[in-house]
Amino acid sequence: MRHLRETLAAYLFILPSFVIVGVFVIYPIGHALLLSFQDWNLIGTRKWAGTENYERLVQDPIFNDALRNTAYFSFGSIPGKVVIALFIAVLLNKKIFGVKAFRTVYFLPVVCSSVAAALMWQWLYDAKFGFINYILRILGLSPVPWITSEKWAMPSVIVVSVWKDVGYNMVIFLAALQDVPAELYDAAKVDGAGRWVVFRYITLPLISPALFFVTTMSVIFSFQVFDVTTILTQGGPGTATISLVQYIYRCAFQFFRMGYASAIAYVLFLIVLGFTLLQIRFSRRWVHY
Amino acid sequence: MRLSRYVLLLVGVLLLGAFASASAQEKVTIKYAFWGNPLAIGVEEDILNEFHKEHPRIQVEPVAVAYADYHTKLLTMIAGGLAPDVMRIDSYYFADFMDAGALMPIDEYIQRDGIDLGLYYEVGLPDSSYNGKMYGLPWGTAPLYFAYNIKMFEDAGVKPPEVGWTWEDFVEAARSIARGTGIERRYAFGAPFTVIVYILPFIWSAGGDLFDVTRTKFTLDEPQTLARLNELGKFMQEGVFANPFELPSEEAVTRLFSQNLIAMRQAAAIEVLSMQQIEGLNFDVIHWPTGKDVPQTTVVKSNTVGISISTKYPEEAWTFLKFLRAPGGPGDYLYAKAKRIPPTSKIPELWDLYVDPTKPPKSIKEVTELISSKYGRTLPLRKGWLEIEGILIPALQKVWSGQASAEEAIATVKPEIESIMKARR
Repeated sequence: MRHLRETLAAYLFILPSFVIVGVFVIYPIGHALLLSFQDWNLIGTRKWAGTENYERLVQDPIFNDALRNTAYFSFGSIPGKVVIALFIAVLLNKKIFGVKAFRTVYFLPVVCSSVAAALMWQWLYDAKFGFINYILRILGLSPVPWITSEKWAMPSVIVVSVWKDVGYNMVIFLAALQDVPAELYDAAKVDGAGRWVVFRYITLPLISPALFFVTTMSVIFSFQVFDVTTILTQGGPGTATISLVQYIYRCAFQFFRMGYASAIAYVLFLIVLGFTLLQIRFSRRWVHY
Repeated sequence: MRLSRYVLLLVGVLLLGAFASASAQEKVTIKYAFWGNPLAIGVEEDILNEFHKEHPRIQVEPVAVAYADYHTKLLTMIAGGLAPDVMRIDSYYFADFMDAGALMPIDEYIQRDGIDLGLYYEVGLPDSSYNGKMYGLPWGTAPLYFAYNIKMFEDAGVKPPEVGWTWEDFVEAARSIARGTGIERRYAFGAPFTVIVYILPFIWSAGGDLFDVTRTKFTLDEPQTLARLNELGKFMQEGVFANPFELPSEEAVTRLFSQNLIAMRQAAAIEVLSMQQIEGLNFDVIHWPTGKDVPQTTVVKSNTVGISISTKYPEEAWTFLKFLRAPGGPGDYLYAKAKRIPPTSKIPELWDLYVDPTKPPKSIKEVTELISSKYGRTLPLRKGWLEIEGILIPALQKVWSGQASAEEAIATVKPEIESIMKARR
């Protein structure tokens, strides 16, 4: 009887959270799945569309461009976000003068509004009046159409995204680095291990859970890129930088095709789920808890 | 006993009458949705104040939302059963909102109260009607003017455009004006080319159009249209036109126009207003260059203000709509006085209020009348317009950058556009 009462009490305690998660997370996820098989413009009658929305995806040139761009963005930005963050974290883990100021400076872009950051970069990248091209001209080099050419637009977006997110990953790496016991480094030194060997065989394995977390989250966030491409390039030129989430937004809130937007959202969900499961599967080989 | 019954009945009737009378005088609150800065609604506030003075029984609550989010919010409000009683709708969205049954027909009110639709500029009326019925009164009917920088024309020794000018005249002027290199380069024409309205005047002057007259067939692949699109792409690659990718917004065009780096542009009323504020900038407006036997090449864009189909107070909503948009009504005068948008109705006093003779463009009144009577054309709007635009513009951008010919670009997107047109019939 007492056990039953305790169980009941426990369920009652989690009930409010469960209701909130149910209403704001689980229900929308399920509803979006239903919507992905319907044609609905937000206020008219819903029409059953069967698999039409999913079939249309295959022929939709913009969806294909968005998928390709999102993959390009993810695989272009994740290595930078992880490797540069780890490199900075290792440097800032040293006891050097002004280390706290450096940590603050590297973290500043994270707290800066994405819209403000993208607008600032828009000015920096401006082909005619931008600061970067101004420097290039002083150096006698030709200006580069950073965000106005199909060739340069995505690399330029990636640079902004790496600049914006590297500080967040750096803080996680820094916390993990500070948890590595100093005795292990001392013992390695006594054994005559060099810097690289210490990093490869002591630091990396011990921070592998943080590395796994950062990589997994970076993949998830990268596939959801929206703000930088929307403000900096509006998905252009042409469709050179349109991302999947940006296309979902357009379909849902500009074209009012909620069903089609939900179908794209589910495809994105499956892609992210697939990558995350793969990462979890492979993590058993290299993550040491 | 009998007498007391009669007294009681009389008292009851009196009470009922008093109650009914009180109900009739009861204050009614209606919501009016429009796009604008929620923190500074400007002229709308003046209109509401005037309306409240004249109709103290009807309280109008403004719902102002920034344009970028306005139609999404409006749809969400309607879907959530909170539709505003009176709402402004951009003509780009009008067909889709009508398809969803958002507005009520107002022909009966128009006839009952003798609203003279003939006083509106005719080109503005199609954007308020659907299947032969009126669903709103026009708001902001105005041409997308062809603006030109007078100094740049003088510097190049080129005669400014004259009424009736043609595509050939435009090309000749453009080639003479474009000159220089690097950041000093002077472009003949500049536009972001991010929406169809930038392209249509050029297509129209070539004798083409986006759709056929029934708006059920996509016709951008006709030979004369493809040739014109290729010609535009060539101008951009040669630097006769500014690179549209370097002009992300109208503000960027205004900046270069005011720095005498862009000589010609498209300008809606809002751009005309912002250019007027620039000290020393001398410009004028004219209709778009015409084509052979095609004088109607200037886009006239209108929007509508209508009444929600689900309003509980249609009579009060109509009273407000009439005040706001009836030709020559208080709203019309207040808008003209605020110089917010050019007059939507053909009433000379409104133009006297709107035009500031000390500021350019000097010919705005005459040009607007010319466009309304001869050179103006409404957009071939239809359901799915924005979706079609969303597919078409990226394809055309490949033509502008020289990555594809117009034939290749249009062939790539034609099946998708046709499938949208079929689905959104």
